[in-house]
Amino acid sequence: MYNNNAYCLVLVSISTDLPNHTTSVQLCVQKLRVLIEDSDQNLKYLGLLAFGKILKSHPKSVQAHKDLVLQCLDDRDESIRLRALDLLYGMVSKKNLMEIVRKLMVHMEKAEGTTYRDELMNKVIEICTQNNYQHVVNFEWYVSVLVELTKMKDTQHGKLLADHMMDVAIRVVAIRKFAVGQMAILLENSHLFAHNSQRKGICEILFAAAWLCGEYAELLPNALESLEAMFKPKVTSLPGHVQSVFVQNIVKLYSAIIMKAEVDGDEAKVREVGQILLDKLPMFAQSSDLEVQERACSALQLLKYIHKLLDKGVPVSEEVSFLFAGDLNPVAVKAQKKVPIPEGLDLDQWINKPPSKPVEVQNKASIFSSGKDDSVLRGESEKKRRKAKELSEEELKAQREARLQAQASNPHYLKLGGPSPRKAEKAEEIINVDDIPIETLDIGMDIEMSKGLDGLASSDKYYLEAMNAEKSKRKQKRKEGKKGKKGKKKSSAAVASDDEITPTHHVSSVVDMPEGMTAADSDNEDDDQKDEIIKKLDINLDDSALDLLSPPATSSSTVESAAARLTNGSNDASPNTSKKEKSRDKKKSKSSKRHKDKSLYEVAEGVTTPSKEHLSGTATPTNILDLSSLNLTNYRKLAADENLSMEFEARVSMQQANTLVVSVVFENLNSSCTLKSMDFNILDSMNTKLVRETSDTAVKVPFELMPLVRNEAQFVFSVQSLSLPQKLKGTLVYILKDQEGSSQQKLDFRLVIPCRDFLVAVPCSADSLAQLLAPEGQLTAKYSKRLTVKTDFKTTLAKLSFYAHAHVVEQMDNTASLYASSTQGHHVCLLVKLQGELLSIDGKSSDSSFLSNVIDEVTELLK
Amino acid sequence: MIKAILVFNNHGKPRLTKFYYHYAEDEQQNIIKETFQLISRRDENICNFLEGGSLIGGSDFKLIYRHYATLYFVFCVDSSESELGILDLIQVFVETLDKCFENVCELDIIFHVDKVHNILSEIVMGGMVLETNTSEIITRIEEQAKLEKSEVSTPLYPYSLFWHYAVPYRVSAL
Repeated sequence: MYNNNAYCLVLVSISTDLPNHTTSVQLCVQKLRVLIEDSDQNLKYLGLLAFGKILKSHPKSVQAHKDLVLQCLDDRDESIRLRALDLLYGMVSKKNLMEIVRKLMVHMEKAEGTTYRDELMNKVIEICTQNNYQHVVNFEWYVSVLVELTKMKDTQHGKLLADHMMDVAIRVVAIRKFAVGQMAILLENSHLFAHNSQRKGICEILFAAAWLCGEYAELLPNALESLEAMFKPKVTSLPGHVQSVFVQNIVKLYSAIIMKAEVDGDEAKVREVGQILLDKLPMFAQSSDLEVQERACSALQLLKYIHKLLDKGVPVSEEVSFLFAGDLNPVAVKAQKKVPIPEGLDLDQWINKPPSKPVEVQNKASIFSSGKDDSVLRGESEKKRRKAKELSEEELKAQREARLQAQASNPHYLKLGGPSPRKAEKAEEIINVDDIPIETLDIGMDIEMSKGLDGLASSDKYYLEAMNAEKSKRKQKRKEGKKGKKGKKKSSAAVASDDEITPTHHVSSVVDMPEGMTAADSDNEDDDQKDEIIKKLDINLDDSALDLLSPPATSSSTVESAAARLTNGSNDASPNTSKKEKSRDKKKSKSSKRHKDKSLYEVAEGVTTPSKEHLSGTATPTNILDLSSLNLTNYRKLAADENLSMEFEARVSMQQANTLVVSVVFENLNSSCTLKSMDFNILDSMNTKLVRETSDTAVKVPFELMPLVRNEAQFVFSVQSLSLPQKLKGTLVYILKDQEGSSQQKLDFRLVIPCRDFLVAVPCSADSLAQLLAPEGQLTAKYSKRLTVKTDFKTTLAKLSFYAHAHVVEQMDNTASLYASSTQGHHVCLLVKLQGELLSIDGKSSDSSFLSNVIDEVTELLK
Repeated sequence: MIKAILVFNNHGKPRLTKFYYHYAEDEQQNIIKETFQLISRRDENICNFLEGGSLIGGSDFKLIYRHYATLYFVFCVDSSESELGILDLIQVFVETLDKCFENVCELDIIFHVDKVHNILSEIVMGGMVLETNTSEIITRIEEQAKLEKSEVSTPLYPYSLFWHYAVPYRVSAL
């Protein structure tokens, strides 16, 4: 499915380069429409993306599918909406502009995430201002849209809005009065904007509001009120450039007011207004921003001067108004470049003479050396230098070798791959408090703003008006059509084309330029150069694209199964801890059963009580059923004859790294005789030694066994290295006493302690396990084994964790990771996987022989 | 060019991160967090293409992702890469992992991080796509594994003997 569409995309990219093949473009567009209508979101996205590319070269063909694009605007997928937005600017026309903008504004309110909202706002403004406001019919509506956009919080586009507001008001003369009226309302509610005083924030709109009110003060409904609004105390919290505009426009407003007042003959008012300014301007004069201060101070001075003149009775307003005479037009972008160079000025000439080159020092040697005698000296020095060079080369070699040897023999020299430096770095990381961003919370303002300020025009009003007007037009035409012809004149034919709609206001395109220059000629040099450079980088990779998009080798069925096989995680920690507890509980219950006669249990030499540390932890009796039903035990047969049988278990604890406790259960098989004075002796090996008073003496077992009685005794061994299983030979000498007499018996045995008995199930979190397993870690040894098992995964895992004394860290369906630590600190990490009947165990550890032995032993037990 | 490849689980824990562009450690962590926030919000039937977050380059870069059970595989690419091609590449990557690890799951990626990195290097190197054919990649990985095993299993031979044995094998393997 993807392949066909991939070919479509290739078609698209080809068509954009061949501008004359309209038929192929049409074909592409048709196919893309199919893509976009598909229910798969990915295809929709790609279709829209391709549309966007075609739009640049063939806008007309894409425009025919306006309806589809508008539909995509409502899609719930944000990426698709963004792509549809990109296409919008080619889709708008005078008719649907209002509708589209309305839709976008509705989206804006619903949108989460300010970037999307900003994007939307950008778009709205872009499509409206496109082509010199080509599509905007009703400028009152547009101004009201801009005003409504100011209600948006947290936007980065405040400046954009302000710029556009000013642009509209300046260039569309007819709309000025309306715009200024709206701005006055905004000014009166400036306190709502003032709280958000970031640069580029929404308070920028006040910049526009103040400027427009000041510039077109004669159009203001109530100039005095606006003047007073500019003096509100919150104004001082606005950014500096906004405040400076306020100050400037206060003076402009003042001039307008007194002009009017003098015409009316209202002297008192003139003074009154002047007094207000004098009272309130100092507020600005104390501002921390330099520009504001300067303007306020100049204004204050001006006022004082004006008042002096007024005291003398001179009518001053007309002269004041000359301060602000003339129209301000927008300045063209290329204006600076177009300033003509006056005659006689050559910009390429040197202003000052370039500095002359410095005099070369010809014979440096002559400055420092004495002259003719040099040759001899030079020769000698050269020889010396040569000798020094040779010596140093040989020397270097010798030195290097010596150094390497020293390093090799030095046991303290750290070779590459020492303990990770990252740990040190982490310790040094200090959280810098200043970097934590502080956000201002906007609480409560939303409600106020959404109510709508009184008097602000709503853009909906204009939209509805326009819709109604259209409907009535359509009805009229239909009536005429019915009168004229037989019924079936469709309303679509009656709908007026774009050109018939005339804009209600005219947009002026007067821009300021240096005299005599026009904007058009030789404008595009710079742009062309840039385009050329960019075009050179445009490598056409489209032929190779076909290769990349060739169908993958695997069939779709394997793809799906592969996806399904990444199994869902039933990733809970609780069954892990309960399993650990289960295995411990099992041990505890077994060992307690064997303690039949606790009173006989005395502490004697070489015998210790089993340390309870590794059995600690709250015993959660959850699901003990599993292990008990499996009857797992770590007790193994040691030796037996007709009178006595011995079973043993090895126990270790983390606290005692080099100690091993072997707990032996003695059972008297004889029904008539008592077993007395049992002596337990072990032949020590280099690695493992039985702890006793003096070496080679036997350890006495501290109890006697009555017939058919069992008892348990512990023996302590000290162990050095754990890498290999410990195999020890031993003898038990005991006295068999019956009614007739006593005889001495001997029982030889072989004590084998496998590596896995040295492991302790230390709890480990998934995070620490992941850290341990990191590639730079210490677990260099790897070992794997595979075997077939008949049982299900749960049982197998339970058995494995019991035998290996490992803690199950994470489990996911038929895979589990386990961790155990030896008493000497060797980490063992295991990954267990069951596929059908095949169980695979992968292990990682710091010690390779330990690891391989552990895994081999465990697999033996699982078979 | 591929800027970064991230694999994280449903809780935002990164399981594999590879950046083909230099970022400081803390920047990398922030990028992972931001990408997770952007992607975890996505619905199931929404398209797999996304604009990059602000930390990773904004709208110049795209995030193309796929969600498999507990893991998100995210590729951050620039505009020169085709979206469908990258989607396919993610599929190739996951399939290769599946073939190498049999029934691959998140635990495998944690346990065999080095192997996963090796597989990824066979596919993408320096931000450029090297190989898209699954069987090719697997052949190479198996060769690597063989080499590793042969090195481990002959520790007792004197170095010179081992060298003579190993050189012709290595040359033929290349």
